[in-house]
Amino acid sequence: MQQDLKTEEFYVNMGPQHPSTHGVLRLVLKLDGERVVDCVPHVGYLHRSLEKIAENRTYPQFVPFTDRIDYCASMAGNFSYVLALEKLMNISVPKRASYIRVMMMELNRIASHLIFYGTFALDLGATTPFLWGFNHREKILDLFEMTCGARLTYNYFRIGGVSFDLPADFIGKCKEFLAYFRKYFSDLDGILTNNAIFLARTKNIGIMDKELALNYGVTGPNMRACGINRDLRKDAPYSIYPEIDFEVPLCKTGDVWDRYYIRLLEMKQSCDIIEKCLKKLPGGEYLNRTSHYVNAPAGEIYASIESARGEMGMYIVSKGGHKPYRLKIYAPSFNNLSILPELLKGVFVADAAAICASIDIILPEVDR
Amino acid sequence: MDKEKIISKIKGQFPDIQTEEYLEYTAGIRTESGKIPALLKYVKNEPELKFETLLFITAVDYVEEDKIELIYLLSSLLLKDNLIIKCDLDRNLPETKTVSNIFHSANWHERELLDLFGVTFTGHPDPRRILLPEEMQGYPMRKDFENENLIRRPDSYDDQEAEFLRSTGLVITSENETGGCQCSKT
Repeated sequence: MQQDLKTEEFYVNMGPQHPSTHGVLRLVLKLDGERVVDCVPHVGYLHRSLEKIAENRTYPQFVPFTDRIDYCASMAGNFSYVLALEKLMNISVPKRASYIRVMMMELNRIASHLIFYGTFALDLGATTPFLWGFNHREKILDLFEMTCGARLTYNYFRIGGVSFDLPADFIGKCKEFLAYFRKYFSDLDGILTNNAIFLARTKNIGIMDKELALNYGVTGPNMRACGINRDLRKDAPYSIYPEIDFEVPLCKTGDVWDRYYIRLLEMKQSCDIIEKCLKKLPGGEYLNRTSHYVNAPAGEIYASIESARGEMGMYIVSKGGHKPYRLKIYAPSFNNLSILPELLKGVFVADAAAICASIDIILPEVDR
Repeated sequence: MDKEKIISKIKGQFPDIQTEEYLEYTAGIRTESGKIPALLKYVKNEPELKFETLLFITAVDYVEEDKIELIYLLSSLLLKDNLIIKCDLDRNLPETKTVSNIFHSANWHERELLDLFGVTFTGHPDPRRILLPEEMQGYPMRKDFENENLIRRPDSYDDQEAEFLRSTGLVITSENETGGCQCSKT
């Protein structure tokens, strides 16, 4: 009977409108029954040619565009861009502005990881975490809204500081949020982390080993989930991170569960960082006003930050004047996505969705 | 290890590389395009350097000098530092050897360069466009790329904007005060 059955490999299109590809990603899966034999990702659906646009805009004009690189964590795009320019132009940033920036970055990291938390659980078939994740994220967006007026694309950082000072009641509201989030964190943790069904779906699946991760240039939480201790906030400290004492969470095996759990730990870590920033927050100026209209000297610069998804960097080539000659946006998801075919070989289709969600890619960042 | 040490270490093995002086924060070297694979293999495997991650490859199109410059950015866990390697290609026939057999991450970045700059990487396992559709003509990141949908802002725009910003009084430094370029250094 078995011998009479004919099997053949066939192709399935996952995406571009598939809910678990988190944006417009098309995966062409070559299947043998339920098993994935090969996977070819097709990207570029969100290509806006930001790098070309940058060549035709003045330096301050490009800040709003950097929001659109990674719209789940817009502050990261802002930050890496202004950091590169400040290095290139030798502009000093007031202490208060640096503290505000770091707080915003960490709040944004929590918001981004909450999206991950929700959508990842949703891809595995759990609806409650999705609603919880988005509910808590709303509170962070409220904080952003009262600070800079926007909830998704903030356009908040300026060359030499930030565009507005913190509103008077921000500190109180932020402390309120931290207390609120810590209270509900155990719920977030409790509903998924040690759930038997969740463990069965995530443990020892999609293992990314150290060598593979290094060779593919994977950075960020995905890399730390395999046990590689690389965090730019520690290794190549920028802004005021050296003044703040914090530990980088690490996991060991690099399977789907680890990639989920590391993000939970990072949210907790970010809460601590924000708390320390609030304690130390100095007064003074929030913007170096000499930098409103700027010409950059000729030169080249690479500056990078630790965004919610990994190392995000800007390589600027300037020939003098007020426009960049070339701007390269290096976004972590590009490298993180390129490892996907390697991880998907031999897994079940249902696991493919889990693995794809666990590396937390964001497509506008891949396509730019 | 600071950047001088990194460069002198590499120079011990590859004496004819040049140092890129103007890269203030990162160690930068320049070599011929043919030597890139050997150089990358060396910095990857050398136990004192261990530049095991290729973060990206990118290109800059210099129309006037008639060249395309490739930039390889590597990162080392051991040194917690970056290294930039540059090489020049002929703009009319930009072609070099692939390094995707040394670093897997090069695969997609080389496809991107093929897509946007028209650089050919010989021996690449999958030489297709990556971001743009296959039927696309031309290479948009080149400086002389023309398309009916691409409208460049007029040059006078900058002057108008500068004038406007000056009129708001927010600008403290002007071009006359500092002699052409640069804002005030603090």
